[in-house]
Amino acid sequence: VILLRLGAALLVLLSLFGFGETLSRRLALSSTPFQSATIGLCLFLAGGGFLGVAGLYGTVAVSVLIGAGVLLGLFHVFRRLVEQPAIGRSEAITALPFLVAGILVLLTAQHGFWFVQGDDMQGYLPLIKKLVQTGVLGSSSFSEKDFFDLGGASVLQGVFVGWFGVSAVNLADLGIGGLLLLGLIGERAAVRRYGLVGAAILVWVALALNEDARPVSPVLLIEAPCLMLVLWMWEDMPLRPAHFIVWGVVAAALIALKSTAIVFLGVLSIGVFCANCLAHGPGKALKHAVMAAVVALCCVAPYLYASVKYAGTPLYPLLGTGFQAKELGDGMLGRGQATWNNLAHFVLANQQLEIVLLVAAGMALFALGRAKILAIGGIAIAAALVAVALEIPWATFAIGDSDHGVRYALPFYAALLLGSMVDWRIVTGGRLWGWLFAAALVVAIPYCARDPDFSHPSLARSDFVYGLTGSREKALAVFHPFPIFPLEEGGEAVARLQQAAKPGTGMLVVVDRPYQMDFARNRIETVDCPGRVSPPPGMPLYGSDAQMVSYLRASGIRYLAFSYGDNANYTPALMQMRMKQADHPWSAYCSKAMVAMQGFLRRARTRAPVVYDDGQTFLIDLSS
Amino acid sequence: MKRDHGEQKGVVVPALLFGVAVAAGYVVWRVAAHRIHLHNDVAVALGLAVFVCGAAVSAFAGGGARAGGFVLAVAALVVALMGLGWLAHLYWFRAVDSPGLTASWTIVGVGALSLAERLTRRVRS
Repeated sequence: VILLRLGAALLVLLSLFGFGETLSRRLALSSTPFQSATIGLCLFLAGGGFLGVAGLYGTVAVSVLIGAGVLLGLFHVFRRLVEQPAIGRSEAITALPFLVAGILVLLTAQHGFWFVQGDDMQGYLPLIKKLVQTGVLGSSSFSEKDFFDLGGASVLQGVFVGWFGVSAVNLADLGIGGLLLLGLIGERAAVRRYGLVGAAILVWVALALNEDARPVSPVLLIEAPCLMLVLWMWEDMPLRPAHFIVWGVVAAALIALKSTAIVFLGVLSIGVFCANCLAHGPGKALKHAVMAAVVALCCVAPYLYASVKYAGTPLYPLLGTGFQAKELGDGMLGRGQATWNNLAHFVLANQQLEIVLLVAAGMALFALGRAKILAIGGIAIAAALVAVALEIPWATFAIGDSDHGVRYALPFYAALLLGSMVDWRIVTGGRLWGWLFAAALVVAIPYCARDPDFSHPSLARSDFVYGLTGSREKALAVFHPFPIFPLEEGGEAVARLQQAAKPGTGMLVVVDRPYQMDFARNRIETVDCPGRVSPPPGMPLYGSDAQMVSYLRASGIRYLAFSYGDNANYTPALMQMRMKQADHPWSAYCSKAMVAMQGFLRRARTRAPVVYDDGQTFLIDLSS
Repeated sequence: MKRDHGEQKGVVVPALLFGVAVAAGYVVWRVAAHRIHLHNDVAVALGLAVFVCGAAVSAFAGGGARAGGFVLAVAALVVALMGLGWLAHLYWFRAVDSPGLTASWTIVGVGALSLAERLTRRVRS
């Protein structure tokens, strides 16, 4: 089974390479193999988005798509083998650490272990399963997870979930994303003849920085395309027209993966535009910018459309706050609470802020010594580092992330730092200053990880132990901050529950394993953070029970399911603790809302007919 | 074959030595942090020092005395700059910072020196 999963991941990678290489050759863009695969990933996300909007996404459809990509990939591999000489000994030696790291990353990703009971089990996993079984993108009107991720990652995650089940979901972000990231860095290291030691250091830095970059929300899938753009800015300025078409495709994929990418893309795009103005004049620069924007808009259109249709806004919160409860105001905290003191509090809560700002200052100083166009590229990268570090309050206030938004900045500053490290000779001019810069970056970069204290227990290590041994006991011995639930369990109980509901009807489920439901049989709605997203006029969570029942009926919900035996895996102690966390507005809001929701469900059971109850979970019928 | 002219030697011995350097640095850090209970920053610094010495030996085995000396010289400069950064941070912010922060102070220092050097060269030419 392990070999089958690893083989499937490699086939998907080959397929992405096939798509990207085809576009690169059409545009006469000399891309490296992993650059082509990264471009292919972005094209696949655009194509998958269109399939999802048309309701045609499914295991068969994506298998056909992947198959076509594999054929293209094989053709281009053969073509490259004929056209290019075999790699030399020094390149092979440099590639060795990347190869070993790639195998270890794939082994870690092949069977996911570490999934949290809230975000993953109630949010991301059901959405991926729903996309696979219904074929429709972003069709959940009560779940917030497509709200700011726009569902881009689920298009690739759905491939592996469709083939192997939810336990293979990490093959997308950690697996494919990790391989793309290592490949992009490895290619550059090989060209620059880093040697075994330099390559090993680069691999260590990349892995240390991303050690805890999970669970299901994408990180590495974002880092790889970002890294490609950063390398272009260091190496290929001023960019050619072909670059701008690909820039548009990549920008669309990044926004579909994580809407906070807009800040990163905006700053880099301004830098590219300015450099282009200097090189070719404002007229041509404007033409290229419009070309990139049109391509980006076309590719991201399906995601924006799905978000408008099911969440009420094309891009939260920049273009509207969508269908959320009125008491939430214009964001998780509301703009009224975005005072200078609050902003400063959340900016300074980022433990990595000083390091990122200092590295950015150092890069800007190096950039100022370069020729004009190259200087603009370097300063744009330094400015992007500052911007993504400072966007954390935006993530906190608008999205309300529980980790001060650091999770939303990590993929972007990781790409900026890693790209600058790989190209340290270009950044610095390559003399003694360069060696000092590179050595200091080796120390500084891993401290930009989410948890900068290297003595913490690592979820990456527990995932690795599980991927290698398949033993829950051994994985839990490495790291178990709170109970980790086996993904595969609970399928039969959920199936029995669902049999009690009439096919084709709407169900709102607050159960411990909602991703086990058959999303094709009924319209299943999961509620990961009640009231955050709900059909208009907004869920009256704090109104009367009668108001709630009539609202749910009007929204097409006939059945309510609740795992009352284990509170759907949310222990009362955990929720009480989270409700008091002023520094974690999202956790506090969601826990308070979940307590209110569970209270409503318990009361509703005494008033509506119970059609199923197994002592752990009940199903009630709201139709009578 | 002379050993001190930066010639490329085989890769197996330097690679093994580098692996040993990584392992030794890791072990020193873990022991210092978790057995001797030194502050984690100090333990990281000790581990890094052991790793740098090992990397220098590895470079010596692979590229001769010049390569080994170069790695040591770069490491010494980094340590010196990091020390200055550490002192500066302590003076301005009255707080002990992490190795990551001192390293990023180093980057600012190196960037400033590099810019000063380039500007001086431009003025002279």
